[in-house]
Amino acid sequence: MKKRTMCLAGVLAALALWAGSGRAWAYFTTYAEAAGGYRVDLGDRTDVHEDFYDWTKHVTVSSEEGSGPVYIRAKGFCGSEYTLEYSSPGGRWTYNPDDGYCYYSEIVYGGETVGGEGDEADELLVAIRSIPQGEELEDGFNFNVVVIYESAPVQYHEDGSAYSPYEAATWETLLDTGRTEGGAA
Amino acid sequence: MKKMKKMLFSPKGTAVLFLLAAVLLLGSSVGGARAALTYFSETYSSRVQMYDIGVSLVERTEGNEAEDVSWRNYESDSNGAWDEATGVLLTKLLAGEPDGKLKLGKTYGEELSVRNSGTINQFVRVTIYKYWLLPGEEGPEAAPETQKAPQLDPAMIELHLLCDGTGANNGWMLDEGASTDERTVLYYSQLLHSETEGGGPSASVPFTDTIRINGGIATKVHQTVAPSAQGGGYTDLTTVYDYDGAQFCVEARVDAVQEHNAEDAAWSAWGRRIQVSGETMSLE
Repeated sequence: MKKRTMCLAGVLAALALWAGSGRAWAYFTTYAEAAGGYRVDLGDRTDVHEDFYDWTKHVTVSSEEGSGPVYIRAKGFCGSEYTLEYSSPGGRWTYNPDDGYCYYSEIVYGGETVGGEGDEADELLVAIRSIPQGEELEDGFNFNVVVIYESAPVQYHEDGSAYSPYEAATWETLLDTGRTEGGAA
Repeated sequence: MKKMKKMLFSPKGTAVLFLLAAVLLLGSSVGGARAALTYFSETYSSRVQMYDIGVSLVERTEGNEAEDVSWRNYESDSNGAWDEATGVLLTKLLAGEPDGKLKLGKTYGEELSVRNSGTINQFVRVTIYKYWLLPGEEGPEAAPETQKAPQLDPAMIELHLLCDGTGANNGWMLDEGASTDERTVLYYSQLLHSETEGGGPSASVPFTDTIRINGGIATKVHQTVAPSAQGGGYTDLTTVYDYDGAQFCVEARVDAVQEHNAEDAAWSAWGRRIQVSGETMSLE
């Protein structure tokens, strides 16, 4: 009988402790959260169109719709017997004798075209000089002038100002090619 | 007397006593619920202290006013409902860009802070997550719209933190043991007072001030090599930007615990041992 009484008392004590400890576990807590971000679109595609007349290449460069902003530069290669002269009616192409490239001074945004009909002022003109004239022209005379065009994505300083097209960082940043997929046929 | 003793120690007596004790115990727990102010007159007034905890995440982008983005406040006078809202961060970040596009490498103002929007004092901590999302891959099964891209580096999302190891600088302490490139955990060493009670600042100083996406992501590429569609043994080499089409994401969560018994509250709610001395908290 005594044992039963003790058991019952123990159960009651446990119940009382349980009821009390429930309050001790409760704390006032709360939280608030938020998230956000933006999509980053990289990549660009430019197309070059050349018209050749009067011993001059008339160059038009267009950037595809949706492309990121880019800078453009061009450089011509020819045999040593000829010389090349770069110019543009609007003066926005600048030749740098140190590296032999001709730089377009403005940012080209996606969907824009530099030069071409209605924008002749921005055409790059690559004139070929020292062409043999008259009797100097022999039968089967041919020549080859190659102009390469490069574009580089515009980079920005921390204050949001764009790097200029003449800054080395624009053209000399090395790509980190992490992996190569597929293989040649 | 003997009869009484006999009755008390009889099985029936024990059972009656047990039932009586149980009823008393139950009665003590529901007593509070029964208590209500049933009389009111202009002569007497009663002040009831309500313990409503609440916290808000505050954002201020460059050129804009600070505003609460998300909050969760307990409202005991509304039958214990939570007044809560979850907003979106960075919505005004590009307001100054004419084309609305993010410039890589540019530093944008992004101040985040915490405000006590409840009626009791509290200690807070903040957990920040940075990661990249990519569009879900197409497949026979419905793919999620975007999915986390663990291969893209969270460190390229440069959210500038204003903190140190001890909080001596501005109050924000970095929990280095709990932080990774993707997750940062900060504790605010100062007590945030309730706006209604006063007695001290109710808002923290900012724990971030700027955000910038590292321009280096434009140098991370991979290449694919495939036979050219033109034939003739040519090979097409295509260079693809790793981060093209990726979306950076910043997530901030603020947790708050009561000031009273804060050490145990933090251990219970956060699983982190802290020490409280007066109105200052430190990490153990």
